[in-house]
Amino acid sequence: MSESEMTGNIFFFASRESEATATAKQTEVVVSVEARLVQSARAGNQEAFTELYKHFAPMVHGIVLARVPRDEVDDIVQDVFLSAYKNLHTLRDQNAVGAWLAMIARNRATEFYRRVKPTEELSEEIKQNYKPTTEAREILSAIRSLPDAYKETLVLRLVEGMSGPEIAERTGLKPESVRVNLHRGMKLLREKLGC
Amino acid sequence: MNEEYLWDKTGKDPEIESLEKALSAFRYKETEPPALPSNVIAFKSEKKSSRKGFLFGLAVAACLAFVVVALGAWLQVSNQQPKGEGLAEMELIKENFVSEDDLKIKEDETNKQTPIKPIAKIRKAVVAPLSETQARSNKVKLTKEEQYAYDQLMRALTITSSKLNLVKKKVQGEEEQKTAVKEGS
Repeated sequence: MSESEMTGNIFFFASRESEATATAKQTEVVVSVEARLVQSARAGNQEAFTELYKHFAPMVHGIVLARVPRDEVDDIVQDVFLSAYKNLHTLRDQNAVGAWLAMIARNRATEFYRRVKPTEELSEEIKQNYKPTTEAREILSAIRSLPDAYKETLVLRLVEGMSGPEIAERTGLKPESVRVNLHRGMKLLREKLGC
Repeated sequence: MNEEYLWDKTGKDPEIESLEKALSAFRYKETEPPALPSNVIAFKSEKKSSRKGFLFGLAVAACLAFVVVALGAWLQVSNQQPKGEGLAEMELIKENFVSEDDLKIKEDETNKQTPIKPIAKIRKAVVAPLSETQARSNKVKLTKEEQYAYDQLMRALTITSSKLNLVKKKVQGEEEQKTAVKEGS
C-alpha cells in the first residue's frame, strides 16, 4: 500500500470518528432538552407537551404504520400521545421518553388487532385520499412482513425519512443495533422485492 | 447498495432513493396534538397541595429537631466542669473518696449524734471512689485521644471479662460432671 493510500485511510477514519463524536454530542444535547420538556409537561405545561409531540410524532407514526393499516395510524398516534400525557408521571427515566413512547406505540398497535376485525375494509373517503401507488403499497406490505426489529427501523428510515442516528436517538436503541437492523432488514427486503 | 447512504444519507444510492420516493406517500404529516384532558390541571393543583403539606411537615420536623438540639446543648452546658481535664477528674475523685481515718471519725460522730444502724452507717460513711465511668458522668471532658484510649480499654476489658466468664462456666461444668461421675461410681 502506498503512502498516499495509508494517509487517505487515516484521514477517512479520523473524519468518521469526528462525525460520530459530533453526532454523539448532538444526541446528548437533544436528550437533555427532552428531559426538560418532560419535566415541564409533568408540571402541566401544555406547550412543552406540544414540543414533545412534534419531536416524537414521526417516530410513533412510523412504528404504528409498520404494524397497522394505514387508515388507523393517525387515530392510534393520537391515542398514544394522549395515553402518554395521562401517564407521564409514571415515567421513571425522563431521558428515555422516546423509548417509552415507542413501547406505548407498539402496545397500542397490538391492542388494535385484539379489538378490530382484521378484514375491515377501507371507507370510500379513505380510499380517495389513499394516494400511494400500488408499488408503494406492495413495498410497505413487504416491509410489514419482516421481523419487528427490521420493519420498524426500515419504516422509520424509508418512510419517515429519519437517518440512522436519529432513529437511535429517538427510539433509545443503540446506534450499532439500528445499523445492523437497517442492513439486515434492507437485505431481506431486497430478497422479497426480487431486486 | 451504499451502506453509508442507508445509515446517514451520505452519498447516493438510487435503489434506496427510489424506495424512499415511493414510500413518501405514507410519511407522517404534521398534525395538531390531541386535546389534553382538563383533569390534568387538577393533577397539578393536587401536587401543589401535597407539596405544601410536605413543606409544613418539614417545618415541624425542623422545629422539633431544633428543640432537641437546643435541649441537648443546654444539658451539656449545664453539666460542663469549669476546671481543666485530668486534674478536675482527680479532684472529683478525691472529694468523693473517703479515707479510713475519715470513716472512723465520721463513725464516732454519727454514733454520738444519732443511733444509726451499722449497715446504714457503713453505707453512709463509705463512699467508694468514683470509677472512671462515674467520673466521666460527673462531666469531666476528656480529650479525643483520652476518650479513644478509654473506649479501647473498656472494650478490651469487656471482651476479656466475657472470655473469662466462658472459661469459668466451662470449668464449673467440668467440675460438676466429675462430681456426678464420682457419685455415680
